[in-house]
Amino acid sequence: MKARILIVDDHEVVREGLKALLAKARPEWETCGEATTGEQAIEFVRDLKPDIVLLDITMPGIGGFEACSRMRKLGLSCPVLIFTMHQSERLGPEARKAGAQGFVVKAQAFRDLVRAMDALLAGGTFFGAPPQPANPEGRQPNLSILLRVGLAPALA
Amino acid sequence: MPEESASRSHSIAGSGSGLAETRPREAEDLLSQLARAFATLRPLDGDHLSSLPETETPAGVAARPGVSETYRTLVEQIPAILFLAYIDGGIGQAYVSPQIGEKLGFSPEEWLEDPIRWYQQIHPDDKQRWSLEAAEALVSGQPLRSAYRMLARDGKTVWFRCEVKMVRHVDGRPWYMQGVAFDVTDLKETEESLRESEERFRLIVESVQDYAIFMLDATGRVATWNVGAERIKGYRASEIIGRHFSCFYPEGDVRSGKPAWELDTAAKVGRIEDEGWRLRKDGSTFWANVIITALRNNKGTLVGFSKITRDFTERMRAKNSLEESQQKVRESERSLRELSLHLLRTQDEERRLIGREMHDSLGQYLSVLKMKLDALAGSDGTGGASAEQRAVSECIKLVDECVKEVRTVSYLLYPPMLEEMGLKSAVPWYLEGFSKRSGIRTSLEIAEDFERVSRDAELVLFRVLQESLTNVHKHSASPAASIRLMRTGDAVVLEVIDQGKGLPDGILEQSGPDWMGSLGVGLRGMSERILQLGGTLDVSSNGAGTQVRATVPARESAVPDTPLP
Repeated sequence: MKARILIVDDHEVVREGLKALLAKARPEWETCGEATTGEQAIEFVRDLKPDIVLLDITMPGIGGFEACSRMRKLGLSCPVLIFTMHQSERLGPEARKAGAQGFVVKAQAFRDLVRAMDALLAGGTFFGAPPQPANPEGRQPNLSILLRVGLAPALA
Repeated sequence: MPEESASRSHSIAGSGSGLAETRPREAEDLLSQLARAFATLRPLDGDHLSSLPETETPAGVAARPGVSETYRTLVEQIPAILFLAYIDGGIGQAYVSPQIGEKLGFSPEEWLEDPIRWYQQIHPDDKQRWSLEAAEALVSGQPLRSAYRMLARDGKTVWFRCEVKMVRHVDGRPWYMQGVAFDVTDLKETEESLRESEERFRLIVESVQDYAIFMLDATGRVATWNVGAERIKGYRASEIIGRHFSCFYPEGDVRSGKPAWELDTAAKVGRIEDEGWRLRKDGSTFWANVIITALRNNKGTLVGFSKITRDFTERMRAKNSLEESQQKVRESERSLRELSLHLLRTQDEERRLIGREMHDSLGQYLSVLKMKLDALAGSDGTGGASAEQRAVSECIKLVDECVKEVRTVSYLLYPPMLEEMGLKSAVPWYLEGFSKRSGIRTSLEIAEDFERVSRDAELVLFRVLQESLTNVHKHSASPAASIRLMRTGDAVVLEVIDQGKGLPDGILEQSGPDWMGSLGVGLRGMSERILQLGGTLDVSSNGAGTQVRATVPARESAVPDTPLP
């Protein structure tokens, strides 16, 4: 099955990494555009009409959630997969609220990304990524780094 | 003596005492009434004064039984000594009323048995004066009115005021004298003590150095002068008495009519107090505190003014310099506050930049690195059995650790979720992590429709949450903390409540910003930031826990950030 993909991420290295990963896993898919901001993403979705959007959250200007909300308000219905560094139980509800059909944490891209995109392209959603065995918030971070940036008290 | 008395009564009218003024007058009235009454006794002398020989009774006067006794009783009830003496008769024919015994300690008989006793008992200092006055009365034919001292038997001095009248025969020859003497010792003593106290008062006023105390006449001319006036204003008494007091005022005040206005006002309302520059004799100025009081006599007529002037130049300078230094302290406080706010904002901004940099750059590289390593290791991520595949597996684990580290640190520096999704997402996100790190349970109460507020408000509230929870973790020993986030009108309210042991005693009682200091720089800094946004931070604490409540306007504050100079 062919699919046209819009990649939205302000980091070129991430976009390149994604393209490499996708080219290897699904050579028949085509990256039809690459946007670096939320605003640009809305334009490209409207103009390029991709089959699926991979959308980063944290970007200059309006972030991914806001961009997704606006697309939905504009009546642009193409499936959106949030693709993010963030990792939290809150992510799913936030992504749903913004009107996205799923999310994938970047650290689990290799494992989850293609599965999620398959699901979305088939008209489904992907919120079912099982949490990481060890939650990163659950352990003490490296104290020396925190001390260096003056953050030790904020750790509680 | 009457003149002296009158002048004294006049001079003390201004001091408000009516005592010396009214008493002599009353006494004199009484005296003359009594003298008249006594004079009317004369025709009946022979009848009622049994001590007088029958032969001396004036002819043609019929004896009236009973009347004599009546008059004697009357005379002897008068609180005065009455006396009568024939010029050509012996002392045996004289009369003195028995009150003399009470006053001088001699019985009438004793008094009369020595023909010169009455003269001997006059006070030595008054004898000469009395003699002169008596001679004058005798020559002029006027009654003798005099006040003099008598010595009592026990040596005490008694002041008498007496009126003596000479009664003459038809042909003009002196026949007898009759008189009345009042004991005015009390009055004299009062007069004397009054005179002494006036004198003391005058001496005090004259010797006061720190106050210029002087009198003006009703037109404003200087009438008296004291040492203080000389010291403060530089004029000697001889130079200034008689001059108009407007010479103490600077030219501008004189032109605007201030001296006259002050007198008018004092005359109208009784008293005026003023502070301002005044001139010394040498033309230099001093800062004066002036009180002018109108002086009126007992009839209410304005007789002059008292003026008390103090030199407040030093005091004024001290006050000014105190105000200046207070102003400087306020200014430096203000600039310190601005500086600390600036530092706080800079710190926030720096943290935000570092956090984003870590998250958005380092984090992305690590994510891609992980992707590539995952691809290298194979689709199952577990790798094969070869040494290379085990190494790749190790690398993936290390990258995972790096990603977690970067995420946590960047998150604490500045939660990216806060900017992306606001408090409603960032707060639960933060609480999850906090609970896991600290083991303290947290509960969050937030409205379903809680919306985004201004970026400043979100950031400050988030920092308050961080600082409060830090305190909960470090100090409270509370097993749980509940957090409420709500909109109330135009404000957002964050409450952090724990069930810990509360803050140490006394910390909240300390006034000023110090108590915040006791809670750590963090919350104190937050308090400053909140104040700057136009909000408030309240911390209350007791044995059952601590409550932190931050309120900030939801929209951009009306208080602009003050740029540092």
